[in-house]
Amino acid sequence: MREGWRWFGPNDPVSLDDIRQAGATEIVTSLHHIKPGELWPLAEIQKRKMQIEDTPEGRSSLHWSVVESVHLHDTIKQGLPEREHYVDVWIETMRNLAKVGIDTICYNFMPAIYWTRTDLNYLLPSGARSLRYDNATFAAFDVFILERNGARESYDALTLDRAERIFEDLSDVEREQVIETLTAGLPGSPGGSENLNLFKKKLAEFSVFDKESYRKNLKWFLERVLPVAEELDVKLGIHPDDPPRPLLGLPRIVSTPEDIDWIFEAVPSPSNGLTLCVGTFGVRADNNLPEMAKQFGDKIFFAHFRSTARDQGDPESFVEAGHIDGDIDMLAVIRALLDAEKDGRNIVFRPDHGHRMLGDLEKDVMPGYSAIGRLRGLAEIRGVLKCFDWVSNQSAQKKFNMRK
Amino acid sequence: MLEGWRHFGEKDTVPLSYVTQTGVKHVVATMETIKVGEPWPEDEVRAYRDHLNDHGFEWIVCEGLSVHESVKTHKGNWQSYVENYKTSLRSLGAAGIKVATFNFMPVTAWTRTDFKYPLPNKVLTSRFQWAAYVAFDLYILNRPGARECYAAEDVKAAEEIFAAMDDTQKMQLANSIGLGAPGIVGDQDVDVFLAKIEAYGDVLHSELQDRLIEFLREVAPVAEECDVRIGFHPDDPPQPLFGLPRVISTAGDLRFILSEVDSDHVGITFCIGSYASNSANDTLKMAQEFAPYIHYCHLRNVVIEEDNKSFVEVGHLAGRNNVVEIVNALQSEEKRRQSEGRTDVEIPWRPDHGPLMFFEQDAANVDDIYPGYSLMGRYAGMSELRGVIAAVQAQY
Repeated sequence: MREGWRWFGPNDPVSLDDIRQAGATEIVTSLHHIKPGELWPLAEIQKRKMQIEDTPEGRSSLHWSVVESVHLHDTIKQGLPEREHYVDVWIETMRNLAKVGIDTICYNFMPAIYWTRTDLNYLLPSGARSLRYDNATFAAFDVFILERNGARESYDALTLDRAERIFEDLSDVEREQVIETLTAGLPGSPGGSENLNLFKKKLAEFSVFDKESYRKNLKWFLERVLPVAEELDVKLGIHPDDPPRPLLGLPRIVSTPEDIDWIFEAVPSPSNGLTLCVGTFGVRADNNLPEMAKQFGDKIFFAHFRSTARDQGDPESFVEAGHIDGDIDMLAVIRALLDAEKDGRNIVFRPDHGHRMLGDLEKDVMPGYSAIGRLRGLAEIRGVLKCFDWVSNQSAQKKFNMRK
Repeated sequence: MLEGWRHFGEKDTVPLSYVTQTGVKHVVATMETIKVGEPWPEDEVRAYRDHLNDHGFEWIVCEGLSVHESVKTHKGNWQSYVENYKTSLRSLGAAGIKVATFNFMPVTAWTRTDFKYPLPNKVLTSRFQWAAYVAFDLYILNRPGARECYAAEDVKAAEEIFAAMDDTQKMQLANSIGLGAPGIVGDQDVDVFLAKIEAYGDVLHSELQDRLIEFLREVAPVAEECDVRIGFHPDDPPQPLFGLPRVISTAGDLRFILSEVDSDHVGITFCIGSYASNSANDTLKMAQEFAPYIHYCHLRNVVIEEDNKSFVEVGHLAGRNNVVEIVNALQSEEKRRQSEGRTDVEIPWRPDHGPLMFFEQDAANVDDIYPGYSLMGRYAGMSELRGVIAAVQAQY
């Protein structure tokens, strides 16, 4: 496996030299300044590649190996007529990426919002901070702030009861804070109260779909892009829904092994694959991550390593845990991916979100993307990989000795 | 494997609140305020233990309970310092601290010629460059008889390197070497440095070895009585410096010392970074051979340079130490201890030196950070080692 690191471009508070120091060699990035639906000009891609790969004398080199993400225009997700134009643009962007040798693209098909947490600065007992999803707080937002039709039916009585109390205790400032946090996963969010309006608008647009009709839109997209991806030998890895369950009445189609099976069967193609976001899938207790890594091994083109810990007695709530801690057997996941690599591939992974800790507590950081917490996760996983490397050499040696 | 973190008391640039965030529960510390050789009062040791407890840490290893120079030189009232040592051991025992370390290097505690040597990934690390050290000995220290200690090509290399240095670089070299010599600061104290070397006279390797063994035999019964296990730390680097012998440098040295001192409370601090700095040492084989005697372990890594005498400290998993297999040897030793019913099953370890990296490179207090003991470099190393330990554990 190759060590990757998500970099948000020249404005990222974490510099390329920081990434070198952390020991990663593969850069995962996007042209973040280009809006979904707009073409990535070849020159812009080349410029970014130079920024990453033009290595100062004597310094360790970096390589732009994965794009995360080339986002889809909402008309594609919503199956609107304009999607014809936007899918052509998406394909053209893919062609441009292939021209400079970038062969792995992450994308998602999440409706309206890309990720959802209720607290981006949750205090851990150690003094570090983490991201948290509290189901009752989310329900308070859904039922009492968003006032979504039918929201109450999404929660059990106990959760609604807690949600009501949470909502009653919110000060005005806290209420704004909740809105800001809950709408942070909205792509291109304008900020402030505008966020809530845009959020409502997007929800309305997407809530007309059920699982089946939404799947049709994904299938249409895949049928258009995969033949070109095959021709270019570009691998597409779809990112799962975060969190992987129905939310706000929106359709969810990338949450479970059944969903993934459907995607691969709907449009069979060697380029049709998965971004195994361990932390996202792992939120569901019924997603067995080591099994999924085994089952989909040859289709996993890129991996995000992170773990979560569900609350005792409230399994819909979770906090992001240390990378090799939490509910997920990360060691077994890594082992399964190493097995999948026996076909000769060298899968890029990146440490996904990390805790905000130590010197990063005094700095402005992007939620989840602080340097030190991710360095920790990367280093832990590096240690695990180093050990598994030895184990596999050892068993190879044993076989060799037996043959002798 | 009992994970620890070295803490330097009030002067430490890494506050205990930061250590808490790393998830560490155990610290390695010493009585920073008491002069080397003085007896440690029981109440002061207990008070410091309580202070660490109050911050949520258990003090598991005393690093170190240093030996006074006179015990190594056999000059002056050295026997009284051995008695003081016993008193301090008893105080540690009374406070429940189970392991104490010391080293037996003449004059210095460790020696590097550069603490800010850049690696290609832009971290700043520690380096021991043989030619720079020889240059220091010959041209800054001007030690009488120094020239006879080195081969002609060493002298030539030192001469060249020294000729190319400006005054600032010479000062930095002196400061770097001085930093590892307690009581000596940079080039200000050349005379003090020389006097300390002079105190050893023409001591032979065998004589220094005898002194170590005599010391260990003296303190072993006390260590047993108060149940504090002594783990002596190797020479760093494990080769003679300044014309003086070193006696804890190789597997042969360990074999000899351990055969001469018969006590289950006398063993080793297995500092794999130090041992690996001598190309003759195979640290994996040493881990296997000396496993029962390992009371405490320092994990880090080095790369030896072409001249076979210089080395650079590199990432904890990156150098010539096969850390994964060493960790495996330690874990299988723990299983063995368990089956034997030993009380010291879990082997304490800590991430040893780390490079200067991330925000600490530009920190306002960067000059106060004790080289090798910055927060980030050690935290990175500790995280790597946690991954290794967890994965090795999963093999059992």
